[in-house]
Amino acid sequence: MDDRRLDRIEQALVRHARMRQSVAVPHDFTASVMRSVRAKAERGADFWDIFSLAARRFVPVGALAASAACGYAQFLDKVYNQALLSLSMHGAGTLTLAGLMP
Amino acid sequence: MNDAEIVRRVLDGDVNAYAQLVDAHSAQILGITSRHVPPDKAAEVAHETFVRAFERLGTFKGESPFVHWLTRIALRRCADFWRGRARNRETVFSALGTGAKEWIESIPDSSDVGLEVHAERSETGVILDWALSKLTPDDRLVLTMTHMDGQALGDVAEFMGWSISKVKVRSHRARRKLRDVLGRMLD
Repeated sequence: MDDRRLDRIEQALVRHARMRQSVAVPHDFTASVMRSVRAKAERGADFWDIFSLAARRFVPVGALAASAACGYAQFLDKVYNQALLSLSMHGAGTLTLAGLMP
Repeated sequence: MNDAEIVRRVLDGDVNAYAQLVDAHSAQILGITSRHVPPDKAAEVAHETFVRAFERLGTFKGESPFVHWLTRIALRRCADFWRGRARNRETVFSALGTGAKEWIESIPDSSDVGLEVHAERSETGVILDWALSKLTPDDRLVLTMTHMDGQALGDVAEFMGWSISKVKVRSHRARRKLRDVLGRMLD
């Protein structure tokens, strides 16, 4: 590789880069940006409108369902513990009880 | 009204106030994008910069001038532009046409005479963009800012979010990579 030649090419490229002119601002640039920005703002607002509406509608139902699921789980846990206790009192071995564990 | 106050108004819901920020800084942002992406894409990337800045306006803390914060976003968008382009295609030097090859062959060997004329030719821009496209987006950005635009290392460090020593190292490495690319082109 010829280093001097490489230097010249690099210098020419750098000079060209320095000579590059800035692109003029298009006449409708601000208007075009603002159209995109308003669309984003509206879409953002739409999202939160739908989100809050859905939340208002479904929060009571969700809370009820969560309470029911939680109560049911607690009930099952109690039944399961009682069954294990009862089996152990009637002589079930450790391995049998361990096999029943979920 | 200064930039920080306008930002506050926009965040308070006055979206139209954002137009003042676009008007005030569009020339400067276009100046930046013109230097980092092809001229026909500069306005598009500047447009994306302002839209992205609007989306992230809540993260502007006002610790540095608004235009510095905007510049960082513009530089990131320029890097994203090249990342997208690198995924799309890889151009070989021979695809640049006979003009580029002729430009290489006619470059003066030792004297500066005629170099200016060469620098002004349109093929120079094509070769420059091709050679820069072989670098990573960050290498490309830092090389353009330090080596070609001659920006202060401190400014580059601030815009890139790097330390000054990192800027020095990356700039040096990027220049070496560029020379490697140009060297392979000559072989």
